[in-house]
Amino acid sequence: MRKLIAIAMFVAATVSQPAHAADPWPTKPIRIIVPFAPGGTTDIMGRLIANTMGKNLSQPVLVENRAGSGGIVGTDAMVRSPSDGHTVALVISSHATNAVLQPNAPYDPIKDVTPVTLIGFAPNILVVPLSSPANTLQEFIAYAKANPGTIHYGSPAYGGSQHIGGETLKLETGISIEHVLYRGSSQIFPDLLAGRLQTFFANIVSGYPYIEGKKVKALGISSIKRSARLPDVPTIAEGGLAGFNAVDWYGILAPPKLSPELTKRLTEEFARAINAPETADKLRESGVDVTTGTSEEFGTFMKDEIVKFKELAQKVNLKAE
Amino acid sequence: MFDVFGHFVDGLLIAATPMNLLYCLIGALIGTLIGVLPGLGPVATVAMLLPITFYLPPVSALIMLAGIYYGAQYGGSTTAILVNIPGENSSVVTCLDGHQMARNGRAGPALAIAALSSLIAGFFATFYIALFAPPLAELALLFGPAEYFSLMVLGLIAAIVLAQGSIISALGMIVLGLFLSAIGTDVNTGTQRMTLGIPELSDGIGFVPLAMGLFAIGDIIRNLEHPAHRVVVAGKIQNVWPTRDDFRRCVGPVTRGTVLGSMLGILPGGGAMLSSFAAYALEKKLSKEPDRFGRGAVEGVAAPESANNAGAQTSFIPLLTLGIPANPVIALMAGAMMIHGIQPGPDVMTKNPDLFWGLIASMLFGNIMLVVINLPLIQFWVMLLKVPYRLFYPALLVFCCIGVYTLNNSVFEVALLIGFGLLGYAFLKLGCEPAPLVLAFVLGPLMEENLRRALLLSRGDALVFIREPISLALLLLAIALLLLILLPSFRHARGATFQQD
Repeated sequence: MRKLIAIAMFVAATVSQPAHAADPWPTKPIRIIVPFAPGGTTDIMGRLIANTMGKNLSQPVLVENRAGSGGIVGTDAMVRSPSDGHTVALVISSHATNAVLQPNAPYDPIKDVTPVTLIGFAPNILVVPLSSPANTLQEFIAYAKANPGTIHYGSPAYGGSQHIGGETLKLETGISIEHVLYRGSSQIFPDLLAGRLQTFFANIVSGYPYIEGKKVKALGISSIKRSARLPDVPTIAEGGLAGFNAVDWYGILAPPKLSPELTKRLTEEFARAINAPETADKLRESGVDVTTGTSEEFGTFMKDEIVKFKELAQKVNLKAE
Repeated sequence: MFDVFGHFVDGLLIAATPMNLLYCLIGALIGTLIGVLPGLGPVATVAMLLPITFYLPPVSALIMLAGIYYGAQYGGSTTAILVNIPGENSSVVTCLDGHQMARNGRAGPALAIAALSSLIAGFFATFYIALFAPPLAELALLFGPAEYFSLMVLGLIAAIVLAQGSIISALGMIVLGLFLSAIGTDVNTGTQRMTLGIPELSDGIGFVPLAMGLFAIGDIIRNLEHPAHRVVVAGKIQNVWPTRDDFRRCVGPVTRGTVLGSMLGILPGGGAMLSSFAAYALEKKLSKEPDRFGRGAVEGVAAPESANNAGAQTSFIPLLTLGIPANPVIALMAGAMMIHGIQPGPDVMTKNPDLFWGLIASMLFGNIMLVVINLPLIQFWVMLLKVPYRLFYPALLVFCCIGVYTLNNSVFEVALLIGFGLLGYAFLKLGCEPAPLVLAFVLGPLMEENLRRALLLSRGDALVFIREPISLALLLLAIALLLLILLPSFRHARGATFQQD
C-alpha cells in the first residue's frame, strides 16, 4: 500500500510539475474558508468552486467552514493566514455591513484584505402569502398605508440585504411595517405560508421553489434588472421605486498584501473556475447572477458598498452594537 | 389509497436497483461510522460529500445522504451506550440508561435493543410518510411562534422527569442550561450577550463540547478517582443478546416512542430532537417502577431510540412537501437537490415522483441494512469494553478532543470541552443530572426566539399564548404534567436522597 502511494505521489509530482514549472503557486492544497455553517448557500457555492478549481490546478482545493459572528470569525482566520495565495475566504455582503454594524471586528474590511474577485449577485424577491389582498407592489403599498402598524416583515439576518430591503421600502414609501428577525429563511416560510407573517424579501435561492410552485405571490425583485431565472417578476423599480437595489453579493478575498502577480494569478484561476460551465450553470440555476471581475473592481465595489450602507444605516437607524 | 400503494411499489423498485442499494449501503455504512466517531457529525460529513453527489443521479445521491443521516443516529447511540458520549442531541437520553446498562455489564442487550427499536420505528415511519405526508405538512404549518413556545414549555417541564434525585436540583440544572443558552448573539437586535468579547462565543456555546464534556469527560474523571473502579464495565459482561424479559418490557415503550417520534418529527425546528426526551419522560411516568430509570432500565433505551429514529425520518416530510428543512442535515440535502436542479418543496411529489417515492422506499432497505451492519458489530463493541481502562481512557480523551476540534477547527471549543468536563465531574459529585441542563440548553434559544417572535407578531399581546387553541392545549398539558410531577415527588424526594450513596 505504501509503495502504491509513493508511486502515485511520484506520478502526480512529475505530471503536475512541468505545467507550473515557472510558477511557484500552488505548491500545496488551497483552502477556501467559508465563514458560515455547512449547507448554506455560501457553503455549497464554495464547494462547487473548489471542486472545479481543484481539477483545473491538479491540486486539492479544500473548503473549511469557520462560522460565527456574521462571518467575522472565518474572515479573521483568513486575514491572519500567510499571504501566499493558499488561503482565501468566500465572503458575502455582510463583509461590508459588518464594517458598520460590528465596528469592533478584529480586522479592517478594506485594509486587511486583498480583493480577488466578485462571484456574483443574488437578488431578493418581495413575497406575500396567497391570502394577502395585495397582488402588485402598488397594491401592497396601498394596503400597508391603510393598515399602519399591523404588517410585519421577516428577515433572516440583522443588517442583511433582506432587512435592508425592508427598511429601504419603508423609507421610500413611508409605509409603517415592523421587522421580525428569524434564524434563517427556512423559519420564515412556515409563518409566511400560514399568513402569520405578511411579507418578506425572500432570497432568490430559497424563494424560487415557492414562487415557481405558486405557493406565494411575488410582488417585485430587488435588483436593477429582472432575473433570468424569474423573468415574469417585475423589478421593484418597475413597480414605482426608481433605483431600488438591495441584493446579496458574494466574493473571494485573500489575506492582506498579497503580491500583485499572485493576486492576478488567483483572480484568473478563480474566474476560470467560477465561469466554467459546470460551476456557472449550477450557480445560475439557483438564481445567482454570476459576475466575475478584476481585483481592483472588486476593491472599489466593496468601498462603495460600505459608504452606501453607512448612509443607509444612519437614515433608517440600524444600530451598531 | 390505492394510488399511494402503486407509487410506493414504484418507489421500492427504484430503491431496489443494484446501484441504489449500493449507495444506500454506502450511506448506512458511512453514517454508522461517523455516528461512532465522536465529534464528526452528519452535517460535516454530508457537506464534505456534496461535491461527490454532483456526479450521481439525484435519486442515488439523496438515498446515500439520507442513509448517512439516519445511519448516524444509529452510530450515535452506540457511543452513548458504550462510553457515555452523546454524538447527537437526540442520543443524550440514550446515555442515561444505555450507559448504565453497559456499566452493569449489559452493553450487548442495550445495543441490540437500540438497533431493533430503531428498525421497528424506521419501518413504521416509512409507511407513515408514504401515507400521510401531504396532510401532515399542512399540520406543521399550524405551528407558529406561539405554538412552538408552548411546546418548549412542555418540553422543559418534561425535563424535570428526566432527572432522578431531587426536583430542586433538576430545576437548578434547567435554569443553568437556560442561562448557558443565552450566551451569544441576541436574535432580535444582533447585540452580543455575555460573550466577554470572545468572537467564538458570538454564536453561543456549541452543543458537542457541552454535552461531551458534561457526560463523557465528567464520567472519565470520576472513573479515574478510584483506582479500583478503573473499568468501563463494573460487573461481569453478561449475555450479548437481550433476554425474553427485555423484549417483553420494550413492546410498550417502542410503540409509544414510535408514535410520539412520528408526531413530533414533522415539526421543523426541534421536533425530532424533542421526541426522544418526550418518549423517555413518558415511559418514566407510565412505568410502575420509575426507580429503575437512570439505573439501566431497558425501556429507557427502547423508547428514546425508537422515537428519535421515527422523528429523524418523519422530519423529511416538511422538506419534501413544503421545502422547509427541519434541521441542518436536511438543509444540506435540500442543497443537494437544488444542485441537481430539483427544487425542494411542494412540487417534488408531482414533478419528481421517482425521487420522492424512491427516497422514501429506500428508508426501508436502509433500516434493514443498518441492523445487519450493527448486530454483528455488537460482539466487537462489547470486546472493546474489555480493553484495560488505562489504555481506554487516554484514547477516548484524544478522540473527544479531535472530534470537538474538527467541528469548527477551533482550539477554543477544545478548551470549552475541558471546562465542561470539570463541571460535569462536579455535577456527578453533587448528584446533579446533566440531562435536564442539556435539554434546557437546546430548547432555550428556540423558546426565547419564539416567545419574542410571538409577542412581536401579536404586537405585545401576551394573551396570544392562550388564544391560539394548540398553544393553549400544550400549556394546559404542561400544567397537568407539572402537577403530576409535584404531587408524588414531595413524598418521593426524601426516599431518593437516602438511596444516593
